[in-house]
Amino acid sequence: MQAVLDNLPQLLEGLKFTLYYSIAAIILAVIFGLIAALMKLSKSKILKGLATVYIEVFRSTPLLVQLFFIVFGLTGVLPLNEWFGQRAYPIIAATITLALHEGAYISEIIRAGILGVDRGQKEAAASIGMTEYKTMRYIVLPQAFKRMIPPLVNQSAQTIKDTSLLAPIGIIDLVYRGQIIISATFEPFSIWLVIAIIYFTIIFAISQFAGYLERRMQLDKR
Amino acid sequence: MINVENLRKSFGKLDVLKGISTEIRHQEVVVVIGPSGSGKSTFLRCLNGLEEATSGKIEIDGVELTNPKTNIHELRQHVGMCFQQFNLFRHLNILQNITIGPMKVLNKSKEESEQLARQLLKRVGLGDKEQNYPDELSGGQQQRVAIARALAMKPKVMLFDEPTSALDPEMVGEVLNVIGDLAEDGMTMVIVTHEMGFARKVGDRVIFMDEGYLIEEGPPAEIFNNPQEKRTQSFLAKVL
Ligand SMILES: Nc1ncnc2c1ncn2[C@@H]1O[C@H](COP(=O)(O)OP(=O)(O)OP(=O)(O)O)[C@@H](O)[C@H]1O
Ligand SMILES: [Mg+2]
Repeated sequence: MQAVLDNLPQLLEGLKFTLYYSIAAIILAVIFGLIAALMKLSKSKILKGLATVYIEVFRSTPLLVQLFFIVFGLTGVLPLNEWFGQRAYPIIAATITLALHEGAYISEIIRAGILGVDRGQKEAAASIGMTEYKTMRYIVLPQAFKRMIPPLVNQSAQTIKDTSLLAPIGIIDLVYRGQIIISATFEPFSIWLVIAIIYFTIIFAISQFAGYLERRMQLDKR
Repeated sequence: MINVENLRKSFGKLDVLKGISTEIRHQEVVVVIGPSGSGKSTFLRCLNGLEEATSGKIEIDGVELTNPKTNIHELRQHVGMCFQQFNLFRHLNILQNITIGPMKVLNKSKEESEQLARQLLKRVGLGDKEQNYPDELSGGQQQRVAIARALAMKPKVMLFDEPTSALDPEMVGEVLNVIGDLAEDGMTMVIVTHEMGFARKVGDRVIFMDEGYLIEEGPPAEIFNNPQEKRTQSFLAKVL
């Protein structure tokens, strides 16, 4: 127990990085997801095809393999470490890979949200002369985003869990910090327990919040 | 004002409009009647390009809608439409429903758009509802807002697709009154409706459609009292 108390600041420092990576990845993932969703809904076969390949590849391979491939695999054929810097490249690449991974799921959330908007809304927008772009921007997306919020909050919880896979590629987060502390204190039980409790508290709170939003949205059908 | 020449529309193998030709003059009120599935909605939706004509020609105020080079979005600014299900923007309040067109499509200022919107809301009898959301209004009120939304674009023509058939009977009158006022103000309108009394009262001309054909057209008194075509006669016998 003493080991936990002694190292709590260190663990919380790790948690801080976990949350930084999560937030960066979620923001990027929403952008990637939105682009992929719009591509998949577009009329162009090429854009549709590209988006489908992206979504399927990232959903049908394990995140850990994606991380190893992009962080270590690509540097075997491209001088990425030189371009971005020895220290920066793994962090940038890992964050982007995580965002691409989550973005593949988020694109399906966004797509379902867009498709869930009543066709009559689009026709009404067209009838007052809105272009497809303006219809999407002012009518469809605001309505779609509202109903996408609960699943997006859930996906954020998933993203925080997924950041634990950054530790195996040598990026400092909560898990990585924990491993270092364990190697110094030989207290795997209490340290892993505390790590699990920290994850649980955050993720449980977020998914409760998502559930609350969902219930509220059902009451308020707007 | 509107010129339709040999308009055809098919959905896959299903021929819905089989060669419609007619002309709608400036300030004329044309009422379209006919049995369910005869293609009335499809005809109306072709007039603002919500459905793309399969062949034929539609000209609105000198602009050929059926020409692929025509900017359809620009043209739609001049052709207002009201739907059976109102289709108000659910995430916007009543005022915003009306201002969004002038602001985002015509790039007018917020002040100017709101002033116009309030004027229009007063005109349709809903001056006190501007902060409400669509789902807080009755069907009749929603349809009147939808009319105001269309009018905010200062259209040259208004299209109505069964504007009262989703309404409770006691609300039909308030919507028809607003449309009747528009007719008096000289708005050019094409109205699909099952309200035969209303058609007779405000219509300058009635078009009867059946199975994708324009069967008969003429002044309401002639069509209703003395229809020439068998199909018109049997339809009217059923609905009158
Ligand atoms: N998007 C579409 N895809 C396929 N078929 C369609 C489509 N829209 C309409 N139709 C068909 O076209 C025919 C005419 O439909 P339309 O809605 O124009 O009739 P209507 O005269 O307006 O009927 P109602 O009085 O019931 O509104 C119907 O058989 C309908 O099923
Ligand atoms: Mg119809």
